[in-house]
Amino acid sequence: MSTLAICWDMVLTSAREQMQYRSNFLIEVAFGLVFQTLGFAFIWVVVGQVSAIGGWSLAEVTLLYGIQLAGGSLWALAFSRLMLIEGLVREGEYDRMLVRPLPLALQFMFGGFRIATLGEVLGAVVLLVAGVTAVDIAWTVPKGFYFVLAIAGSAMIRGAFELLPAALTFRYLTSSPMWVINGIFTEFGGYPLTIFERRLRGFLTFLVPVAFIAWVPGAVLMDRTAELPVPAWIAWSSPLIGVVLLAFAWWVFLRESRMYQSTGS
Amino acid sequence: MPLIEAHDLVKTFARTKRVEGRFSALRTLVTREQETTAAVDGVSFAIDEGEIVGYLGPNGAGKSTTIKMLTGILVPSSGTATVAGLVPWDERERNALNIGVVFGQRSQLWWDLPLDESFRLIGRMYRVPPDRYRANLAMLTELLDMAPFLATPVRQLSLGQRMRGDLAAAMLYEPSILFLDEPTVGLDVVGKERMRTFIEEVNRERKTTVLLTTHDLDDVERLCRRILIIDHGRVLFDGALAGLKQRYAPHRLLEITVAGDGQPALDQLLVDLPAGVAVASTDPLKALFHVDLDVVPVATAIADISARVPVADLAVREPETEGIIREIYEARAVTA
Amino acid sequence: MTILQRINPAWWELIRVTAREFYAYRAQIPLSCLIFLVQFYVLRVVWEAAYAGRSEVDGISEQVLLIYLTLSALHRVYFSEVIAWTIQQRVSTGAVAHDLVRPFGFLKQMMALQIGSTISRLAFLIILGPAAAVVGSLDPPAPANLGLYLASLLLAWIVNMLIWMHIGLLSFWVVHVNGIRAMFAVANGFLVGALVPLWLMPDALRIVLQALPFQATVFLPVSIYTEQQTGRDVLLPLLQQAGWIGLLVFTANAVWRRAQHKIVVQGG
Repeated sequence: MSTLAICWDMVLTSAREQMQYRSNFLIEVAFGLVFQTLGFAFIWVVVGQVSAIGGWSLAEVTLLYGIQLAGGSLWALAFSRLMLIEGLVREGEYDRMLVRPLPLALQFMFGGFRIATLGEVLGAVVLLVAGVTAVDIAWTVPKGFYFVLAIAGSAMIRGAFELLPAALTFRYLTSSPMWVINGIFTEFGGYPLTIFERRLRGFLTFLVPVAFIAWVPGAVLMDRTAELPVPAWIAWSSPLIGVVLLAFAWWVFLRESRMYQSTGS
Repeated sequence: MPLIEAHDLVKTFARTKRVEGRFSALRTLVTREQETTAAVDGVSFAIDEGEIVGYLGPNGAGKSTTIKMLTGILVPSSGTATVAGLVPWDERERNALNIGVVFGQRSQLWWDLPLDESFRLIGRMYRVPPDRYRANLAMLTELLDMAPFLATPVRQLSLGQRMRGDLAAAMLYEPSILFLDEPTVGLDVVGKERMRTFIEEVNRERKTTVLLTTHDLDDVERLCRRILIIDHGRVLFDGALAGLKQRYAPHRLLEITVAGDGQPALDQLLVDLPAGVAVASTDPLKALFHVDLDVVPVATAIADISARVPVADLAVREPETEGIIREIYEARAVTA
Repeated sequence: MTILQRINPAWWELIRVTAREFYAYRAQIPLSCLIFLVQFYVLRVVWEAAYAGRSEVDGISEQVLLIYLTLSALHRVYFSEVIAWTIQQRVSTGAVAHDLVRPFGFLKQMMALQIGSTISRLAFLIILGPAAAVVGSLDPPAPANLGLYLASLLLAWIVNMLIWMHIGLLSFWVVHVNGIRAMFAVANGFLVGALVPLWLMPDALRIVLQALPFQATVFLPVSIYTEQQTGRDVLLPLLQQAGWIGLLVFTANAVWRRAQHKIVVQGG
């Protein structure tokens, strides 16, 4: 029995648990879809009325939003359970995870699958396709690779910035910073950061790398790297940035997990 | 070679010191002063295969913390331990395959799914070969009488049924060691009995080693030949239950009923007791004696008394474990 | 007896208890305020980028829009969905059985809860009001409109409560109404016109939203405040709101009767 088979089992179990209450798989998927794309409805109305913001047309912003959604939903698809870490630690469920013969990473990944995330991915795909077809991108082979890798990188950056505050939970029993940072990524991530004033843009590029979630990859695809606050070669390395950040965040997370004190007597 | 070994385990927790006085909440927030408490302060013991050991202590004594170190949940501040040859916190996953853990308060079963689905997933997670899984499940279902509710979602089970499910889940992959943390809490008489019978059975059939944390002294009397008493992070007593009684409460209660005409003889006896015998209580034609084993063996006392009064009925009772343990907690004696 | 004395004392009790319960969660206030301000800031910047130097879009000036957005955002803080969440929770845990046995109607208990939660959120206003005004903009309206705005605000609060009450009552039929409620909570901002005022929406969308009760909670009162209605037109929103209240009270009672029937017949 391979580890992969066990993981698949866990995913199916979570799925079956959710369908105990809702007999309809489709309802869950629909929720996920609507939940994430509602944010786009706002953009569609506003930018649709004025034709462009920050120098980006509606079609172009659609592409950005699609990239952001793709990265975010991929991470959510894989790691939904991580968001619940505060509850897991407080309620003692984390104790049980430690007593299982499985690596913690896998338990966080496959132990809490939510059917709704499939809907989120679906919404992302729809927006991505819409964006890619509506925008006139000069496709090349490197750009094709970059497109896929940048989405993966985007997912990894989201992941890194979920793991880092999650690591705090072991010591301080609270994951509130996670929600703030998550909120920042969700709110700011789908826009071209040109609409924000210079210092905020800098903060969102160099401190909390929201820029690399969608704007930087989008700019690379559309040959607009000149408007970025980083040189083109860094823009092209955004997937690599994702890998580095995620590796670092995972290392911190593992180290902090040793600080786990467990609760109750 | 002992199966479970602990050497000088220490676990300290650091908590931010609460600052008293004005603005205490704010000052506590910014203070850097920490106070450290040792939940476990130098615990050592060795448990051999096939033992059932009771782990007792008042709340906050360090029982749970010890168990958590042995199961790989916590990393000790100092000291070592091995469980079936592995260091639990270093080899967490491999250790997990050797141990079954039941936390009394928290189920490991999946809440919304039928019980047998939880079993199936656990079987796969612990890589139990399908034929062994089926055999184990059949055996456990029979032993714990679970057939009526195997298909019921766990959330609809009663506490007793759920606890049985948790026990079965812990045994499905035949671990060599069972850690049970207050498994009988909240159960009714029948439930407790079932659980104790089960533990006895697996211990006898499979030589499963059991470390049982409990407050229920009937559990201890019934199952544990050996007990460990811990308080304030230190072991106060480690030995056979019989030895406990012998050391801390070397007495027996002797209850006699005399024949119909024996009252005068009894009254005579009561004012002139043999050495080592004291009166606990009296009723017409009855008396309860306290026999001090340090002074006289109980057999001798019985012989003495029988010689002087016509005994119609006689019963010897051991001292109550509860009383002994309470005394130990209160005295905080360190074993010699 | 004075009017106050005639009101069932259970109201005061429940309101007080609820307000105090929410006070217990006050540690979360800074975080919630922060998230609120971040979201509002992004909203404002996006609109500014949309205006990009234009003095007005569709006849609405940037300044008016900003006031609109600021006030709408504050509205949403006070128009909580607590009642939906509570009904859902009490049904799914079975605690509703206790509530039904009390000598005080279930719906009234829930209303008292909503009132209590609104009152406890007033504590936020001290921080949030000025903060929102700084991030956005908040000029006072003309005195004439102020009174009408306050009346409209009250009506809006009632409509909001009724909407969420309906969503909560769904729990009696749909076991895990949490997802539906969460979806509405997310969509709420858009549906009430807090993210985009109805004047600036494409026609098709505007017509649909005007037919729904949501706009009565934010769009209508805020449009009075921002003086986008003048003269007799100012009364129209108030009439709309009153109309919605009438309709929703009727449907709420109908739904509740059916829910009670279901409990009695099916044992909840």
